[in-house]
Amino acid sequence: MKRLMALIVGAAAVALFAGPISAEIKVLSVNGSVSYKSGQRWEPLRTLMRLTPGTKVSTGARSSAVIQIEKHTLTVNPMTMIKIYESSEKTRTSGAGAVSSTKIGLRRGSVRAKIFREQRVKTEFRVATPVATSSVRGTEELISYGPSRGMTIKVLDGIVRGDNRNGATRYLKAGLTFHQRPINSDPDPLLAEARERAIASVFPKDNTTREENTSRSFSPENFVDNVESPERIVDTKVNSNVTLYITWP
Amino acid sequence: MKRLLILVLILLAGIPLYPQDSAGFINTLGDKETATFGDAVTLFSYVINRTPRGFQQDRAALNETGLLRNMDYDQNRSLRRGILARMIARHMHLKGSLMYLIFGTERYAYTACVAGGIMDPGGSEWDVLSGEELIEAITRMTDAMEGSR
Repeated sequence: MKRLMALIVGAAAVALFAGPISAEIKVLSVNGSVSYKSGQRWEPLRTLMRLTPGTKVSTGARSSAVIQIEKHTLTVNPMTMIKIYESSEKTRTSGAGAVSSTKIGLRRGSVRAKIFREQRVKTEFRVATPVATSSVRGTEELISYGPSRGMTIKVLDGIVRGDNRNGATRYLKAGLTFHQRPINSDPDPLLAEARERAIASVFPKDNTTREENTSRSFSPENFVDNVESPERIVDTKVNSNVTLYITWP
Repeated sequence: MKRLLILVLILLAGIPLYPQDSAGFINTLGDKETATFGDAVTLFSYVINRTPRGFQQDRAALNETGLLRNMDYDQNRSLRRGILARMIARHMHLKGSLMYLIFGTERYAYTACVAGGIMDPGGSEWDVLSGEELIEAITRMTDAMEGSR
């Protein structure tokens, strides 16, 4: 009977400690005018200050702050307001590692997040704006939001998931940009930026190499802007074999 | 009498001339449905690293740099996109629009800002901006000037 009681008490203790524990949020550095609000009033933010979930942080012009949330690093850029909604660590009931969960609200401006990933710890790092949310598992990203342009996620390293409010999801690797405008129901195409910088050139297939080279060098009209409709350039429609060169940035 | 004077001086010393710092000003501005010309002048002062000292002084200081040339607007005038575009175009020395270079009007300043990626197309120079929209435009201006972080 004693053994059974000890077992029950032990199980209860494990269940208790398996609950979410608020993780440490520490201010690593403050540059310029930065304030925080955890109650009713805005107060100046200072280096090495400890913050709690629910705290808002706002930076002024030419000001920034670096905040450590668990082992993640969040740089709050100038003229930005964030709210730290959640930062917790929870041991999995199965005993297989832990779950680390962080949720940041970005009202305006931009943040740079460097997410630390440990083996056996499922890391969830989310940054939410009024139009979309980014979810990260071990990476580095730059996120910005403004009422006119909407939300932009630039992936610097690793993989990021972008979800808009209509349920559209995009997975992004390093170098790609997620852009959700407030007026659109879907995010912009992921390669939109690259497409706008790419140049396509079209040459008739029977051109000699020398002609092609000459054409490339001296006839810019042969370079067809990829975002322009061909109907606007070619007057006569005939079938022809062509060689297509795409210079991808 | 001396004690009273000292007390008054201590009380006055506790009240800063301009109670809000940069972050405080931006927090207040972010809640405004309509930004004013005075807000833009104050925010520009912060951006160029000059402590605001009141509208008249700030305007005079920005006028010296050429930023507010021929822009004799009232402090409380609602901020239109064209007014802000002209301030931004002058601050950044934008040359993306030939028409802006020729005429320098608010309409073409907005075109130049669109070409420079500071503002989005689809608006009008007559649009009245909110506080958040003013902050967003200035953020994009400073980002563009400093390069991507």
